[in-house]
Amino acid sequence: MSPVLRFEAGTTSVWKGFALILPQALELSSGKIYKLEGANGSGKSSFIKHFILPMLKQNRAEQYTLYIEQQMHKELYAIKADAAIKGYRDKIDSEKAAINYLLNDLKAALEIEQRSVVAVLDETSYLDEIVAELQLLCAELLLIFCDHRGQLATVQDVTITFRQLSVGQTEVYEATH
Amino acid sequence: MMITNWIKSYGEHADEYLICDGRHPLISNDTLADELKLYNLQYNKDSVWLNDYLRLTGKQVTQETRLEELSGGQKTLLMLLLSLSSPAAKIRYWHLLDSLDEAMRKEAILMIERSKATKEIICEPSTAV
Repeated sequence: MSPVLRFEAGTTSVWKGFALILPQALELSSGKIYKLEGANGSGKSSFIKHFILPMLKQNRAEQYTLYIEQQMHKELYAIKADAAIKGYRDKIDSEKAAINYLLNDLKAALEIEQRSVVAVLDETSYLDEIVAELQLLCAELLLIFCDHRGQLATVQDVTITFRQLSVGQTEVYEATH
Repeated sequence: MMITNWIKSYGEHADEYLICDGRHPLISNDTLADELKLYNLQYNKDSVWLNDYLRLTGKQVTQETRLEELSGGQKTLLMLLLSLSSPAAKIRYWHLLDSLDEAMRKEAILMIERSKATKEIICEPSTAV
């Protein structure tokens, strides 16, 4: 299966005083589950925001993207607004309700046009439930997640390790299971 | 209506506690100086919380530090340290450990246990800590 996301080797400054280093090119392929693993502050969410999401925006005509942000309270407002515009009936008053809305929205989009799906789940309490639902909905799924709680403990195909070299530098590499 | 939602979200007697929710740990979303005001704290480079934060995260924060530059776990740790250093006598944490890695969880639990000598602290869900 052809890779859907490819990041070249190199050093990228994501914040003032913080850089992510890819010693080798990194490819994320459809049909696989990737876990981003590293300590707090090692750059997992920064990798999502500065590498993965910009590339997904470039490819947005080719696939659907589901992104659940860590500590998603700000995202909730955007989701509520989207739901209001689309005339969604159920009240969105919690993270769980917002996730249900996003999954229903994805399901509706897939019913209109089948596409591959890239799901990026950054520290959600509902990881197991979302993944189970996605696996039912999507014929072709690329799943990327971060989780410190041990959810989905055994199902990832590939671990992307974030190893802190110093406070300002993290090395990112693939460790296949 | 808002009070009803508040109680629904955080339980009975929620208004008696400083509520700290790991699902949205920081409120001000600008600089550390703004967040400190919410906890009735002054910035002082010799503060215990500031040194603890440096020890735990390796990150030196100042009043001008922009909170958006902190990771999710670093935000949660900041919330924990500021709340424990605040004058609040009663604190109720929600989902405190959700974004913390294993090492930081142990540190967080230790700090809470130590602070229970002087503060009433509840962690929710009750099975979380």
